[in-house]
Amino acid sequence: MNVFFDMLSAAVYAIFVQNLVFSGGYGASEAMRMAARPKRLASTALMIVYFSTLTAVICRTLDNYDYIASQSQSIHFLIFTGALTAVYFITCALTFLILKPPKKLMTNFGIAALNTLVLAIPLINYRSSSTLWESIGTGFGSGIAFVLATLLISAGFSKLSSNKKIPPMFRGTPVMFIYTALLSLAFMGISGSNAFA
Amino acid sequence: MIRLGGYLRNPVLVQVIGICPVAAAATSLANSLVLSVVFSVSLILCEIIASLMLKKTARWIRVGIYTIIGAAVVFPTMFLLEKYSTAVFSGLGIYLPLMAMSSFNGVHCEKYAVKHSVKESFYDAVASSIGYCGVLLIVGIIREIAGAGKIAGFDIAPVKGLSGFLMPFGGMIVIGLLAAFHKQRVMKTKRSHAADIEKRFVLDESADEEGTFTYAVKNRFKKK
Amino acid sequence: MQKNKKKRDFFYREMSLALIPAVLMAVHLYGGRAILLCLISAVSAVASEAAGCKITKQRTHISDLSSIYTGVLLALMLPASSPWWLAVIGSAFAVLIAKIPFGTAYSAPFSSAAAAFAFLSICFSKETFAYPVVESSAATKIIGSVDFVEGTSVAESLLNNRLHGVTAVELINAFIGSVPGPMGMTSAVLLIGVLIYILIRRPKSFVNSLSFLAVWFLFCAGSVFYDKGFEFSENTVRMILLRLFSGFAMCIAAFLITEEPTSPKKIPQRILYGAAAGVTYIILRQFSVFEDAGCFAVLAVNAMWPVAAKYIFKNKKRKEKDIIEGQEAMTSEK
Repeated sequence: MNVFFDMLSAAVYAIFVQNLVFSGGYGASEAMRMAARPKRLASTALMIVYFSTLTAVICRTLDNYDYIASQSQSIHFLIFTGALTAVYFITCALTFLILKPPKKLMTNFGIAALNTLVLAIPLINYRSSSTLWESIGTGFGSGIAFVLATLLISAGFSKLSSNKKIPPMFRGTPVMFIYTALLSLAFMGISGSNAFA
Repeated sequence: MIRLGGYLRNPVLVQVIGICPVAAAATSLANSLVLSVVFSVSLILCEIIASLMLKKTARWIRVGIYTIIGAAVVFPTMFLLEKYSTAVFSGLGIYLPLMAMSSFNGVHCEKYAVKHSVKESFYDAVASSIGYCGVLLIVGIIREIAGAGKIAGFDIAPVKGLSGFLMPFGGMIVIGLLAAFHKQRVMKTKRSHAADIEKRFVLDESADEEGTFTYAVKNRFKKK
Repeated sequence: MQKNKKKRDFFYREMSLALIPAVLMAVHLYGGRAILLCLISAVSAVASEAAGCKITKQRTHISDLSSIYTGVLLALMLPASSPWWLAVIGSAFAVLIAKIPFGTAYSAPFSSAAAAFAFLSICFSKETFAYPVVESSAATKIIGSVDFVEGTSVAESLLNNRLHGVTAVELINAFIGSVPGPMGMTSAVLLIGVLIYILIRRPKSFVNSLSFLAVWFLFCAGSVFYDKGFEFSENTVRMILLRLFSGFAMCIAAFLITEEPTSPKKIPQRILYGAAAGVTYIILRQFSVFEDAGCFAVLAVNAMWPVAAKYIFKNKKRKEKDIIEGQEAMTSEK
């Protein structure tokens, strides 16, 4: 039961208390670009959950070895990046060999795996000394946080697309940035200025 | 080419790539300088290597290699900063290692470097670097002044600073206002590119079945 | 359709009238400083609108009173001891960031006053929630250094579990507004009057308020009953009422949740909108680092509502349309 609550609290923290996309800015460009293509969100989010959870588990397990745990921050970050890249290559290689998938799926793997949001998970877990179950919860939370952020930006996108009163200098990307900024401000309600460092 | 790649099609303000470091980490001139150097070196190396050696490699392998190149640039920088400038190192937090994973390198190399010569890729990398680093530096300076009441670490008395501008939402606001001013300048000088800015971000509600894992599995069994 | 359009065009003018009693109450409680802050805030908002419209090359909409409304509302949400620059920064943010990029006040997706207050809470959390004791207003200078004695608002006392019982006199003081709190938003009797005004002038907007207050009341009653071991007494009733009127609850019900540009149009959706705001407010009152994160709750609901509108309500409409078209096709085939 404790394990379940650890995972749940870590996930809720990553989604609502300090939403990874809005409070930390991780994966912001992916979220904004995906917001323009909302129908592709579900598959990308599942891939993000897979990559971030698996990488978080591997990185947390590696940290159990004293030799690795005693290394400096820089070495830790290097190991985590290596772990994520290895997970990506192995997943792609297996998918390619077994399923022989279309190019689009392989492209989507790259977008889902190699982005700031996925790498941020093990780095945040390391900094906050999370347990294994909290790391898994944060991994799951990252995908849901991404989905929530993208849905919010996409809904705003639709609303702003039909707004003819936006001044010409703000039409397009400028007003989307301001809208995303105000969304991010709305998510500061619980944590205030104690955002991720 | 520099005007097109760095200004008219600015990577942050027009193409909306590489937002994370700009919105979250560019909170001072020092941070922005470090991120700019790391980014420029990483992008130039990636584009040259992609154009020189990776044209015939499968796309999914290329994308992983860009990350390795990014890591090869970022981590020596981290070593040096951790040893010689702990203030900047702790100020950047986890955003410096995240530069290795920036979507920028992948998008640019795939869109340009693998389809053009080494020389053209180099100029594209330089142009994009100028554009991206320009935004990084301007955002960093504005946020340091507005957020901390300082410039390059020196106090600007008696300004106290609005700490909200040091948060990611503050970064997004600065980027949004910068994008608006950029668009206004482009509208005055190059009207056709202004229309291009609006068209780049168009809502596309078509489904992408081919890009999903379930489609790949269904297709595999169909072939069998 | 014409009647609806005419009502929306006068929304800010009608609600500006509702702010006048709140301003007068603030002056009564805190003296001349209250009106000065309101004036500074309003002037700053209007100046920001003029400057913003000049830069963006659009027509100014000062005559619709949206800037003045936003400026005065923001000032009334701040403490009377706020420095003048707090009101200026807040109103400039409200207009230049939360309104101008989206065109007019009627096309802005977020409540400008709520966005500005949220921004000030993050940048200057100390100044934004430093509420003065009401009795010390007599010694306060209108311009110059501020001589206030900092008090503890009811919301803060409830948050820190320092209030376990309240006398009838204390409740009446809280009802009138003679307690530390936002300059013009502590008087429950006044804000109830504003709600009655909304019921008469804008009955559809009143649905939002009623729904929000219903959820908030259920929570207040439930939590007080739970604390008191489900014992029903006069003290229990007083505590429920005190909690009901504490913090920004009445301000949100009267002003922030009724804003026409951000509110849904149909009655069932308004009920859901108000209830969602109530639930979000309850969560933030319990878990936020701020004393009262009501403005963040309003922003959150403003942000979430387009998702509900796009994915829940529009889907239903499409399904009904498909069913009707299908039936028509069937009857035409016959």
